[in-house]
Amino acid sequence: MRFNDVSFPHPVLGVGDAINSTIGFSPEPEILSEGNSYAISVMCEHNNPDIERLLQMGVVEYYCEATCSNTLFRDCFKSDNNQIKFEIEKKLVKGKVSFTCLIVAKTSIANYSNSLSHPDYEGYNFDIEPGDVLAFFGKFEFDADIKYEKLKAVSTFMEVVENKDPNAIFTNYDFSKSKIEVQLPTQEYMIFANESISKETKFAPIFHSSIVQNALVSALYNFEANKDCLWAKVIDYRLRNEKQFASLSINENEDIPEIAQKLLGNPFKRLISELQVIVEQPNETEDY
Amino acid sequence: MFQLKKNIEDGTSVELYRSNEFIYDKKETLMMPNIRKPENLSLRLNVQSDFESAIQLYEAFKNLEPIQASDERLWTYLSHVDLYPYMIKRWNSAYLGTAKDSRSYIFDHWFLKSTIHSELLRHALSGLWWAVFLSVDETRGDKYELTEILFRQLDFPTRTLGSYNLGRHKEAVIGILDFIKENEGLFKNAFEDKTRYITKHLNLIGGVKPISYYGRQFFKNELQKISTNIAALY
Repeated sequence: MRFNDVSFPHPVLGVGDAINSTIGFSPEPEILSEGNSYAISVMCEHNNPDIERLLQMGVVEYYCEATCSNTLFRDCFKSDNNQIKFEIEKKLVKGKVSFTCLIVAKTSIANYSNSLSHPDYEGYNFDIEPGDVLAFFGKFEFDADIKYEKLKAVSTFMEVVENKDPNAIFTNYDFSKSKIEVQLPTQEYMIFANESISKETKFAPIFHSSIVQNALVSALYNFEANKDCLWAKVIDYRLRNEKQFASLSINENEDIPEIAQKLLGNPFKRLISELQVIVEQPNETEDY
Repeated sequence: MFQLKKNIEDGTSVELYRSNEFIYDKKETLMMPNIRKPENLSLRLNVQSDFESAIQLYEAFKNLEPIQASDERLWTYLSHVDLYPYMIKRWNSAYLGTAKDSRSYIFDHWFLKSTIHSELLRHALSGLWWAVFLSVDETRGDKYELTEILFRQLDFPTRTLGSYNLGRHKEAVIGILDFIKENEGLFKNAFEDKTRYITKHLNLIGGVKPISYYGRQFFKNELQKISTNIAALY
């Protein structure tokens, strides 16, 4: 559906200045990942008395349409009150899931008019049919590929893989995949893949401040060209939703080293702290 | 898959599609849990009938979840391995070497360009599966009765309905197909023009009405209102 001034034959609250009232979400819609499904809760707010009266009469209802182009998913959820709550099974959606929230007519409404509509509508009444839109709260979306509960894990946007080119000597970065790929030459990868190295938690600050930080800074400089990749979407979500990034911009090159360090939880500080721990650890062999 | 696409782009793998068996590196494939390989499916597909092939493919994979059925890797694997013999007969221009541009022909038929719904409905195999998914009606004696109408012309599921958002609302698809079935006389000629016209008309309605709100009867009623206009197309 397109929501602009010329889309609808009748005045729709929330579309241009068709009706002089406020409308929106308050608070912002909540999407929670819970087991095998996403739980969505939307609070719709408006202050239009005529539409409120229709709600009280039970001739209109709150309505949320959910679509996912990647799985041909399309469903709608209705509510008689301003909170629309529903669940979507995870197996039904992939990638971008979009929502449109409305108030729609449940029954035919003859001679509809709104006392706060734009003067252009003055003197006109409209016959509303079931399903016709009377109010538009807005649209929102989320990305079902993003593991929101694990956003801060480096593994959501980067992975270390083997460079299968037998002639490779240096480490290569590939930003075109769903995750930033750090491609280690085979020999180095075999050593890295050993669990006593790659899974050793005390090495994490070392990897983060070397391999990961370097790859991430390079990736951020190439952010725009790869913005459709999942890794970029994950980072973009964090940049838009975490206060620590409020004063920084991905478009400003001088901000990128700081953005990278914040995304990784200050890896250099963690490295220095870890080195200090290693140095100050008693060397047991000296006791004998 | 990434490497294969790269090799097709630079032309080094195009020749592989002229072989009776597609040569691939088995180490580069992944197991998909909960998906069983159907026996001899390739032999059951009919290159002369997309409708029959679609039913066979859907029946073989009827337990696929939407998230699995929109996985590019599944359809790429099937088109290159299990169903390769069917593919080179149904879409034979690369195999015969008669395609104007073999590289784009291979990309068009063997790979999904993306997993947006219009592409899912266009791919040589996923398009068959999704077209059945959208038109199968379990409430009927013959649940594939409407699917057969959808496949009367391949453009109808792939390009006409498939290119509109309307095409991903099952109730709309069933409503349209049921209207055609109940008004066969109206669609005796100019089937392609008429199906394009009705799809476009309903899509315009979808511009101002929330399509998901409505059941199949709404779409049938809307088409009934324009039946004179439909009849005028010939």
